[in-house]
Amino acid sequence: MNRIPKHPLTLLLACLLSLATGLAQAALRMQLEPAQKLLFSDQPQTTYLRISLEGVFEADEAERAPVNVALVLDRSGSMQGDKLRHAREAALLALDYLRPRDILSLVTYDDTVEVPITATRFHDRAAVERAIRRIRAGGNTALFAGTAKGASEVAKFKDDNHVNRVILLSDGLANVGPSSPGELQRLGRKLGGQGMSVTTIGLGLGYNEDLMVRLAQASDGNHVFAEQPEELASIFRNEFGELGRIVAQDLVITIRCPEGVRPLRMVGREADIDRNRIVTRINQLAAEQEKYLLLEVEVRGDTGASERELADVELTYLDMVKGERQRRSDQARVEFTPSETKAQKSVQPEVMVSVTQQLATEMDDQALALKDQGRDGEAAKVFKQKADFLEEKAEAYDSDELRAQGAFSRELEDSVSAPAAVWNKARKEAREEQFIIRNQQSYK
Amino acid sequence: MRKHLPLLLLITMLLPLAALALLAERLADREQDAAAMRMGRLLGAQLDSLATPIHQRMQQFERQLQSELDSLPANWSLAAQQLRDGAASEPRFFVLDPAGRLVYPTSYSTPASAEQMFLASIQRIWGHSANIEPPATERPVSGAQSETREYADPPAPALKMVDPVPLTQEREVNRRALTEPTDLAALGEESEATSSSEPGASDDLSVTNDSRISRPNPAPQSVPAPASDRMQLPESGWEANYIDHSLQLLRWRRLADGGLIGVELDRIDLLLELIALLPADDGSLPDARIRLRNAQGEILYQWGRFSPSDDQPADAQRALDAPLHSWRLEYLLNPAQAGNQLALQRLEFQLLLGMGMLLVGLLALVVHRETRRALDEASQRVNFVNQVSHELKTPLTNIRLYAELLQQDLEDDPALLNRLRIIIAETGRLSRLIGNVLTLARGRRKQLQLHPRSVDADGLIRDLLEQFRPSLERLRIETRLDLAAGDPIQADPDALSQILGNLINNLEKYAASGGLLALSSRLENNRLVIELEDAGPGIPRRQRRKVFQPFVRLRSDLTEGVSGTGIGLSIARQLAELHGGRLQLLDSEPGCRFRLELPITGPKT
Repeated sequence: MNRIPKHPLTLLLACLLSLATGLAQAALRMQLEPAQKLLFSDQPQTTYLRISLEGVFEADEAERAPVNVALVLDRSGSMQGDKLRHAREAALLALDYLRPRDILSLVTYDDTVEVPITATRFHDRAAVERAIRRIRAGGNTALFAGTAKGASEVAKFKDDNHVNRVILLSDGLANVGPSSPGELQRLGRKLGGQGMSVTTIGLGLGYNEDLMVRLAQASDGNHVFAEQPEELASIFRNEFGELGRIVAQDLVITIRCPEGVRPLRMVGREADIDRNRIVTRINQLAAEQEKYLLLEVEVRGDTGASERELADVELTYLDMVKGERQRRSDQARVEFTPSETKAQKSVQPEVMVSVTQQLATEMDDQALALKDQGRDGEAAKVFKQKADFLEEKAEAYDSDELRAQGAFSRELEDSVSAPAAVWNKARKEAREEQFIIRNQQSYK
Repeated sequence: MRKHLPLLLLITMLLPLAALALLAERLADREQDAAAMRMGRLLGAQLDSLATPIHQRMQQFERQLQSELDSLPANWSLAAQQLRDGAASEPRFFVLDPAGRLVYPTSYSTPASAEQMFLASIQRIWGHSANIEPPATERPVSGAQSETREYADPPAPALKMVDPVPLTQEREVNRRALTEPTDLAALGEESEATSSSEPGASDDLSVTNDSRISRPNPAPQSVPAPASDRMQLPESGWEANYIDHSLQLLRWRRLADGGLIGVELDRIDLLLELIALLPADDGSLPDARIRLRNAQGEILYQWGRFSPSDDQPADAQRALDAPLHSWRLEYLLNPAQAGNQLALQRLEFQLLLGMGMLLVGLLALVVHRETRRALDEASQRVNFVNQVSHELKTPLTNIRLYAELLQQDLEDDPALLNRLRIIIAETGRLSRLIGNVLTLARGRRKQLQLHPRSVDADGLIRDLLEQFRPSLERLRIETRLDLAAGDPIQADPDALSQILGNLINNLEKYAASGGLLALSSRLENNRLVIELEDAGPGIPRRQRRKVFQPFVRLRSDLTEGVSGTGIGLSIARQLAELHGGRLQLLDSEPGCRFRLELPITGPKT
């Protein structure tokens, strides 16, 4: 925590200053929360640090950063009928969220990729509507090429002042061009590295959730499972709504751990860990959205010191309101206590809920892999363990979130032995839930 | 003859038409081939125009990667150190020490799968990278390192990492031998020759031919006085490998100290760039499809509204330039569209042909009708002449009868008798003419009939000559007779006298200038042979066959001023043949010599 100014006048000044400059324009709040305030001083122990980032936006809607979005729609044969009709209607409704200074491109794909609207400022709504209404279905699914073309449209106007995003809607398996989850994940990572995120919307029960999730995950976009085409309208509304609320982009979080603190891993997120230095990125943060990082560290017990620095966190990000890069830094500290019970009692439930959620959802990977291998019994067992674990922690931390997650895990446990169609849907839901937990997605 | 006429006409019309159709068909085929060739060239040129920007983009990548390599320290251990220190999120670089051992990357703190894959792939090419090294003798090698000098046997102890796919033949390395000085010299040439070799072949110490393309822009660093043959080694190049069936492109650079640094061109980066570069399906290719395929034939990207079936062969294709030479661009046309065009062309052609045939047929019909009318008219004329002849016959017979009676009554007046004889001779001539006409008409109608009986041929000849005597005397034609037929024969006397009369009549008309008529008769092998000879101008050999054809009159100089029907000889031969005999024109100089042969048994019935 920040050192509190001692002098009352300084305090007042600081308050005034933060009111004048901070409140009106601060794009985000960063909070460092150790899972325990007190650590047992006699032995090394593993603990967590939660770094939460919350988007704040109190300016006018008109002041929001312009978006640069490519809408990439699957028009393969399977989209025919209701699915395409709803997709068209959802896209038409989503246009309400766009302003003339936003940039929109429309990409459709089957065997080949068409670009009915190349990236242009959103001046001519009627033309866009016409193009959307003209979309017809038929053919295969060149998902990679469609996404790549969408990305190349976004890249035309990509700059720091725009919220750059590709929104991909697909209902089928990629079958033209690169089509493995691994390749799409690499594509996602590339695009994320270039500063654009890919939101993937899986429609119906025919798409490959692993592929869609990994593409979104790697680029730090959103992922939604829309079982029914009717859901598309609200999904598009949420997605475009979030686009309009993006307050920060390209968030780079660099954590340095001092001597005596060994970073083990970043729970639920990819990060580069190089000895005591951890770097991770978050592509975009929306207002009213809280994203967090969970760092697992091993702290050497220290009987000599009463207090110690846990981590030094530096955040740089693009403030989308100010349109310039900002830098924040903060330190997380813990105190040592010779009493083990005191240390136990100092556990922060909110942090531990996050930790539990992340740890539990890691078990999903294991369970899904077992089920994919046909080892249903073992998969069910893992889901059961997960549910038990969640329920136990839900009681301990009195968390409804954990109770809900636990209940869902019980459902999954039952679905493992259910018919393939039921499992297929459950698997997509599981991946979606996992994604939402990992990425703290702003909507579902 | 008249029945065959339409058929003949039809054939004469159809034959050239059929020939024309055949010719046109073949021409159309050839035209089609030529069109296909032209199309192939056109498509090839279009693919070329697509390959060019791809190649340019690859060169950009090359420059970019090369500058990344050049920005690293020109010392392998320093380079590895700098890479270790830098927090590169993506494992893209690698460093080999002079012994060809991988010094970076070695291991990772977090075993991310991408890093493992990269490490595995570097391990895969490790053996080859060692081959890029200068010959072992030129290199300071420690005892421990000398074990790794077996280039063909790449496994290194430090690299016991995940190897997801065994080393396969798919690893396509176009290599050039490097070990021998002659081959080193060949590196400088702009030779296009590439050869694939087994990855493990130990005697094939070589470098990718891709390195050739990078020779124009060698590394800018000056190489500090290296060994003499190290100078000739390429300093940087591309290495194309197949990992898990997907292309991995590595740009490498040799360092002056014998180390080697390299960087990977990310395949996803490459695909992203190429897809951005290549056009979307903008409707400009309504009936074609262009595809970019990788070495496995998988479609990486495609555009064009036409969706070909999976097994449709490409109408044109082109490999991309190195180092992407295992990828190719394909152009596929809609065969239905092409087929339609072709069918349309054919239909057009057939329609034209049909119209032509119809026209020709109409023409043929017109010609046929005209000819028929002409023939009808001619036949009417002949009929008319026939009728007239018939009508003339009776009065003429009467004239002759009464003239002969008068001759008997006027035995004492020689002058009158002489005149009368002329009248009789002329009526005889007229009778013969009418007889000829009637014979011809009957012959045409197949109604010619003979009435054979016993005939004294010599007597008949004498009587006939008696009839001709006035005209022969007037024309001062000397008559030489050698009649030795003797016994009578079976023949139609009227026909026989008609044959001979026609021959003598001809002689009077055309050979009077010779002043000779030699007539001989004899019996030979049961045949009566009568020969008639003149000393006239004769008949040219070429035309001898024609004289027996009806209505043929030869040589205008001969026939000029001489009246004649042109049927005499024809009738004579017809009658002879009807008798079972023949009438020939024999070779003779000068003049003509006709030979008549008749069987003495008369005509067979």
